[in-house]
Amino acid sequence: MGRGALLGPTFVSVLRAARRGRQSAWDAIYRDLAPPLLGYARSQNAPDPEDLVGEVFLEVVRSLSRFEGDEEERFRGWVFTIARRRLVDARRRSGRRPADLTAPGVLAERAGTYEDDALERLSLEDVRALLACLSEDQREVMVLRLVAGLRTAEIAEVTGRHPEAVKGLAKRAIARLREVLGTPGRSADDPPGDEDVPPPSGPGRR
Amino acid sequence: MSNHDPLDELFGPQDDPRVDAAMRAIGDLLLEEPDELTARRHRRAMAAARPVGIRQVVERSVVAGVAATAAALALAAGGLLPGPAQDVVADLASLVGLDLPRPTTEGDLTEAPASSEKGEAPEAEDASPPPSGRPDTPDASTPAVPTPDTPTPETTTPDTTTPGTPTPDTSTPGDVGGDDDRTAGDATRRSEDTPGRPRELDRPADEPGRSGAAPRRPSEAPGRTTAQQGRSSEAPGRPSEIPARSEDTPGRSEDAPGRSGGTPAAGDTPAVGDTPAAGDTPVTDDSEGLPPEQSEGPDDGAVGLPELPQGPTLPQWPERAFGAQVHDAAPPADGL
Repeated sequence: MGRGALLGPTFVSVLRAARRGRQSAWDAIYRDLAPPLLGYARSQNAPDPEDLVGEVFLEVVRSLSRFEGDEEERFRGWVFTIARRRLVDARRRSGRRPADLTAPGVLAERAGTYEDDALERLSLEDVRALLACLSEDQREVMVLRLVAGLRTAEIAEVTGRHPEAVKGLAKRAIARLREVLGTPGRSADDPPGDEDVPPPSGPGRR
Repeated sequence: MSNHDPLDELFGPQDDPRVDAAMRAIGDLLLEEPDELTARRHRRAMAAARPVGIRQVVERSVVAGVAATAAALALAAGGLLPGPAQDVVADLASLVGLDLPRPTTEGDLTEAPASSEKGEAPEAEDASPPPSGRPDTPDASTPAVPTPDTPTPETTTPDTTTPGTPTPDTSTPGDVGGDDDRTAGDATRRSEDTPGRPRELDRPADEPGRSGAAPRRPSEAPGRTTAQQGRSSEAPGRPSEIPARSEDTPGRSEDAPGRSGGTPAAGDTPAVGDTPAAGDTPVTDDSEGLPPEQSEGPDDGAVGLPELPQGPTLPQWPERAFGAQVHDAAPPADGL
């Protein structure tokens, strides 16, 4: 779980080659970072995720000389910091709000219906529905950890929070997931309750 | 940063497998490769934004150097560069075993291309040579005499030839009587002019220059036709021109013979005597009868004469041009 450092031990040489303008090095960086960046942009409901990714890479190319260090984690954190800023800019431009990933009704239908075997076959839509249950901050921490593979320190840097705050957000996000997924064995026939989002544990969702 | 990350525990194996599966799904499903077109577009943009590395700079500069060298060689081969540049390129080319035409005289090199392009024989040329300090001036002052003898280097050589040519011509009685004097006078002119423009004769490259000068002739032609009768005597003075004229104006049939033979400068010897006044500087000679401008430029024009339509507009360039042309034309005449 989590992506971690994909380039691994080759990262230092790749970064050096990228600084020299080697096309192959930039290809490797793009291959490694484009998918998590795109996932991050989509999960954050970016107005145009592909464009956002393109803008991020452009800035990475232009600003690489300002990046210091040769740790892959730091580099990834630096790239996602750029992505977050671009995301904020894009949202501001489009006037779109970040939270409306999925209509509440969809989640209401899904919540508590996941069987163990069904969880193995979650679709992208399911995942988005799950993420929609989380607050924006929780969601961001979840994605930066699970999709981008960042550690506490990098997430703290990207989001501009204290590492302890990041840790707390992560804890609450997991607890919320547990709530949404419901107790094992709960069937879809069970009435979801009065609320749109029927967490098995009742109120106290957000 | 220590290797231990608090989030490792939080996101480690969960007691609830459903949460485990959900987190795995989030990490897997949200990772989505951009489609091929998008990825290509991004990479292209990145490549364009990438700062140029040293290697690329070197590669580009090599390419640019090769292109510049090729261009310089092409220009130099055509003799189109100004003198100093031509020399430099020729020097460089010689390093790699290429022979490129070199300008013999500096003056020629620089001026020739310009004159050829504009079609004007730069007056400056003729005017410039006379300056007293120069070796040319003396030659000019001594009209026919030096010709044969002076095997002076390159510059003078051409002149010598010109005067030389006339001599044989003298034998040809073709020159109309009375013309002789003039011819002689012309000859002197030539001798004078030639020194000033040593190069042109040598150079095959002059051809272009002549063609450019050609325009002058036409202008002269008209003027002459009328003037000729009056001038009948004058006309002959220009031997080398004759061929060209004969073509131009049939009416000049008279002149033609004289001119054709005219090359002869036969009159040369006498001419020398005639020219006394000119003796000082060739220019002066020319200036006597003719407008000062003509003396200089026209040399080159000889070649183009027949082709150009007589423009009555050009009367300003009278005989002088001829005198000059004769010069240039002289070599061909010899051949004839």
